[in-house]
Amino acid sequence: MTAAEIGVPHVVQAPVRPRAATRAKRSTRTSQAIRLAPAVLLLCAAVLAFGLGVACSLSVMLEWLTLPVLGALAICSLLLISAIFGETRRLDAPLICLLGACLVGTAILGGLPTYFGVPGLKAIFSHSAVSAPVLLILAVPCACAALYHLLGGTPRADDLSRYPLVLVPVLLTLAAYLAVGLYLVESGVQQLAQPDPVDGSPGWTVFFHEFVNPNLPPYVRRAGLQNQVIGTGLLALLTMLIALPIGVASGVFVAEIGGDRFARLVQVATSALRGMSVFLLALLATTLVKAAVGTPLAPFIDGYWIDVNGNLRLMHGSYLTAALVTALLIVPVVARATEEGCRSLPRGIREGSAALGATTDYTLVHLTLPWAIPNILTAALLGCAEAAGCVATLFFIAGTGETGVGPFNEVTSLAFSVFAAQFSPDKPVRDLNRPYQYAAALALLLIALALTAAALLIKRRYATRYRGA
Amino acid sequence: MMRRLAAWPTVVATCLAMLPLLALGAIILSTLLRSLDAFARPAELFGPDLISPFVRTQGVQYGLQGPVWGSLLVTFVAIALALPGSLAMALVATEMRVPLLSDALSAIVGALAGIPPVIYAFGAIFLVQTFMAPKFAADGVSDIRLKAVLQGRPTFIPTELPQQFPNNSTLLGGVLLGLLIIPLMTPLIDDALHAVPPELKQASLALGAGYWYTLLRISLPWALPGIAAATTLGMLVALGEVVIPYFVIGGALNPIHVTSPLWDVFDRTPPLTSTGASLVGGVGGEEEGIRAQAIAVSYATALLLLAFAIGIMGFEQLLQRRLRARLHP
Repeated sequence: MTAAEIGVPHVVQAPVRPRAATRAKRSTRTSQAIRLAPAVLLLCAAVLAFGLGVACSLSVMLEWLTLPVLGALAICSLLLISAIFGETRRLDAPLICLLGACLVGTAILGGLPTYFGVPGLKAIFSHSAVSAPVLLILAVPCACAALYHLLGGTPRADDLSRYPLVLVPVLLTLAAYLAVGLYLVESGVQQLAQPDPVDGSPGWTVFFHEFVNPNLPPYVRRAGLQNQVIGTGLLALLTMLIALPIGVASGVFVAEIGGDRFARLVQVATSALRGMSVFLLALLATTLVKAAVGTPLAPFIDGYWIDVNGNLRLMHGSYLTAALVTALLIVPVVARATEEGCRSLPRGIREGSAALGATTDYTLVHLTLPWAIPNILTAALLGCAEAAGCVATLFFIAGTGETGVGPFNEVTSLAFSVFAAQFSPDKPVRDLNRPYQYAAALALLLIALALTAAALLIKRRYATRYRGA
Repeated sequence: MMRRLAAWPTVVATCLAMLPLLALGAIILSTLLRSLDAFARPAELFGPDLISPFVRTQGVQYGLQGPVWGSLLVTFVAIALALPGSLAMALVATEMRVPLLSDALSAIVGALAGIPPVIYAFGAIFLVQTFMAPKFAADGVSDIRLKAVLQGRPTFIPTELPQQFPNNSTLLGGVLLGLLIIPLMTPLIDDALHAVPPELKQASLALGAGYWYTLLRISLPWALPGIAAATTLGMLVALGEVVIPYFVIGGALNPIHVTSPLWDVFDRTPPLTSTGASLVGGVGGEEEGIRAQAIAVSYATALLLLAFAIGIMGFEQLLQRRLRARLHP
């Protein structure tokens, strides 16, 4: 149905003389330019202020630029306010607030000396400690306001202009992670490139020989991370061997077997294991080790070593103990993933199985569990990464790992060697480990990232596999 | 019922599922039993000063007010940093799509979540060198490059490591814990935003509301229970983390007091976890004699942490119920 059919009168356009039209168009363009120019200026000033804020948080050299940039922000927002007032005869309230904030910020920063103390606080602050946050906090809303007016002040512009509010925190956070990561990589590579202080071999060979007791004569002792790397793998493996059956069983129990009350109880227990501090697990480990002394289980819980004279020496804790305690940290992860996997089994499959006469247990073993395998696998890999990087449970029980790697040897791992390089009560151990602290941390980071990436890939692959189901 | 029990998968799963329950009971019981000595003297345990046997042998005091306040401060700083950070991350990943970044973000967050806490402790050195050291100082201004926060006070290994892991302020510990929990909180907030019924959003958009208005008035209120759950998780992790505070803030090797003014995050207030850990001692700790009381106090800190965790989880349950009741009246 056209406009003529429903009786809308035909609108007759008045004939417009070509020259007048051109003039009108030109004047519109001019007014648009007058309106847009302050917005562009404000946007530029905001970007400049943001850059300066980042620079100020990194160094103290660009301090003198703070006041001019804040002044530019204030002037640009004033220009935009007057341009909008000239066009609409109305004052833009958000921009006036921003102008006020800029002026207040300028006044505060102008009045502060280069270094100042706050009464009561036991610290002295540099001027840049205040100017950086002030600039960052003012730059973002100014950019939003400028974008809004630049995009025409429409509702769509309103939506688009909010992007800096969300993007800036994300970019700053990602930059923080990147900076820490790059710092670690740089320092780690540096340590690996340097020759060993003891025998002069290349630094990276530290991963291929064992740590030798620093209390032995100086020509024998040397730093080594081989047992730490293998130990990290063994710890992750043992932890998974313990955590996987318990976690899967708990998840299956919560989702399928236990009624309302029992399932809830197990669920609360597993989430409490996850929610409570890892420090309790650290204490549990040392309690276990202390309690085992004097019992027949002592060699297995505490770890043992048969010295050159054939005597049995007890250590502080074995891989098995560490794995047992670390498993308590992983069980909730596996349980939760299993539960989700079981619950995601389509109802049709479950009912079809029941209709064909399968028992509940048959359905559980042959349908529900296979369905949940991708979830379980993802959780297992993430659990491995967590076990590999967990220091807290080894806090009181791990050692230098010089007696070899096995379920009943003294536990050690890469993560713990990073910790021991800093805080081992044995000064020689600290001194030997220190030159490879960053290298060990870098190796741990790579292992953790590889495991996590594998978990993510499995998750993504299996997430699309059953899309048609 | 008998026939169901006779089936082995059910029996095996049920038996194994009881293990976490037993382990939890054993942990709580052993912690309780070993901390009894500390609770025998409540006036000392809840006193204001903690002066451990590492500081001096005479006049040892085990007041936990300082560490408790340290835990609260650290958790507060971590959440204050992580909540806006993870919310912004989740918004970019789900609601406010940005080409390239949004797709990469979920993978980045997933990878970051797998990084062990001990790695984040290395961020301390970096942050001190680039951010803190040039900007803050505790004892006067000597040159352009100021000393690290509160340097000049007794530190862990002051002569050996001027640049590495200086015992630092509560603020730095909180910031690193914040970096640790952002990748843990983001997926939960992500899920909560995904779970907002699309018809609500479509109705809002159809009625003429903008995307930002819909986000503020529809999506975020609807996702509030999920955001509360994510915040709870973040708080629990920040409260319970040992390694980062141990590396960055330190433990009971210095006297610990309640800060004055209370919110002084530039002071060094170790939280309960690192205080307790350093009271037990390092590798193979627990020597006999003088340390018995210190170890009992360490178990008491663990018990307090457990109480805090239970309190936070209970409060979250209450909050969830209230929030859900408001959404589904």
